[in-house]
Amino acid sequence: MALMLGIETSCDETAAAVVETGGRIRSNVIYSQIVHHAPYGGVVPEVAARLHAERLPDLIEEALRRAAVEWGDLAGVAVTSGPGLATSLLVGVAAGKALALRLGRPLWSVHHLMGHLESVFHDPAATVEDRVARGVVLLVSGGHTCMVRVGGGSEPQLIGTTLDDAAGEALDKAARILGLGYPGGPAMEAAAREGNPTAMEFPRGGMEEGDLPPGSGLRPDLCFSFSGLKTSLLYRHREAVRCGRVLRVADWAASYQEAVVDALALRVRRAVEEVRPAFLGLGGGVARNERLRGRIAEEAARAGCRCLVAPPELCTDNGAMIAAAALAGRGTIADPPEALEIRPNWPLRG
Amino acid sequence: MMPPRTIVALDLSAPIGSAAWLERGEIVAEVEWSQPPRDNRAAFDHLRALLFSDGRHPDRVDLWAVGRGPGSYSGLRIALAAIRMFAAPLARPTVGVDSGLAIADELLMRLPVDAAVVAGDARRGLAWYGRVRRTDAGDAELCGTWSLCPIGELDSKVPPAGCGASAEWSRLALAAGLSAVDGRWWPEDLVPRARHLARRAEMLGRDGGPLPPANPIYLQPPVAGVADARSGAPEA
Repeated sequence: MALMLGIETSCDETAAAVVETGGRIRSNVIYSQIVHHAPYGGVVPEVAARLHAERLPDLIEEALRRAAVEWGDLAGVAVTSGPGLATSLLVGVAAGKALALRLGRPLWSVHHLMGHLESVFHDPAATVEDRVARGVVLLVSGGHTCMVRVGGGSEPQLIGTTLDDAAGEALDKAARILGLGYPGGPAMEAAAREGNPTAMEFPRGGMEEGDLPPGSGLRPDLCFSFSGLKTSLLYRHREAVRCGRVLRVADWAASYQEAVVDALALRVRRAVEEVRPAFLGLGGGVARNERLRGRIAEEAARAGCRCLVAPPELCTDNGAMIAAAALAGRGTIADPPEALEIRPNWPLRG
Repeated sequence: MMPPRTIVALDLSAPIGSAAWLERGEIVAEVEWSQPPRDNRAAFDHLRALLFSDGRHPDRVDLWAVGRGPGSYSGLRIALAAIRMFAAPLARPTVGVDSGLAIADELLMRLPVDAAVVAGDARRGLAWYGRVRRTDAGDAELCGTWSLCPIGELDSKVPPAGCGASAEWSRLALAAGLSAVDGRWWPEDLVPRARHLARRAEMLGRDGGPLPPANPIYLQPPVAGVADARSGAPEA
């Protein structure tokens, strides 16, 4: 049995974890910075970097304590080297390099989204066969929205992505417009529970061939766009306020959330029809949204495939998914460790 | 705590990085390198050489010292993360030492002045600076706190019969319109050498009191124009 330390500092969660070969999570320690970013209405890179530097060393020690392992028990160190905020990635990668050097252990470089992808296989319903089966996985968070095709003996392949805002970002911005606070996703979901999702109609962000970057190799009907949706809300809300119309925030939130979820589910349906997967997966911070989980389960049932959803504790950014991804072979060893560089704009291959 | 016999110090606050190994009061190994912004490959290459050559090993280190600035925020954070991780496996103490004082130590070694200013470009039209004086022991002592000023006012901070120094002199001279012709500014980049940090750490360790925390000095708030009540940054 090998033990892997996972380090994650790509955005506004400082996280460390210890995971065993086979994926058993021995510890998973997360420091959420939300309260420090909330006054600004979004993630401030310099605030994030300062907090990572302040908290990460203690968090790593805490992860080892909770896992009841000694430093020498670690077989390796895995760290998110991208994509993410450059100044935040630097802290995690520096800590990973120093530990790998100090302990004489290999350093694994892990793509942040490969971590989220791995967390899907931590659904209690997942089987060993799922790891090699053909699947479509939707990864949605505040910074990313994409669909990945996995299995079939090949590397994970990007088949759809957002061309502007991420789904979580769209929810955050809407929450700000509606005065629901930060972080917006949970606030929108809470408000939406009391609202009517058909009260208002919002666009679903259709893409055309010319909207994609040249040579992307992606199909426009599998890609996302949320900027028009956000703008639509902004103008309609502003107009309603100007005219003095009575606003029911719950209806706005429910209708808007429905548009976001519908836009995601529509592309997933197309991808599933195209790929004919054995399973449909869902991961990332927005995967905690119950409405989205329900819609993805419906799409899986409709297509007659299994549905795997990341456990809630592995949806937000965390170190366990990074360690588990490395153990599952979803990373590369930096040799020597000091050669590892951050990749803030690291793309997934299409 | 027993006085530390072996100390490793690291400074990444300036364009030239520096690390040193001090043993029984002597600097037995020292490395310096030029580091492009956000590229720390060279730093870790040199740290490997420093920590694992000629019979040296991190297990032998009693105290780990890190330059806490003022200087490059990313550099400070990388150095802090690295030093804390090097120290963690044997739960050895870490200590933060002002990088600016290492620059002052370097200046006072070269110039017989009793007062000086250490400064750097703080971006956004500002400079950081600190006034230092020579102690009876001959090393530099900070008078007051590290502070910010409009970059155009920096020249006026140099004390009469004193001298100014910077780790990035050429850049600062250009940005602040400074001249070294009259001898008021040291005419080249002065590296905050880790050997000075190590010696200062040794003195702090010898005192037996609580060691200053290894926290970076942040003179700017994290968001331009918004005070940072949380960080406890020194006053400008």
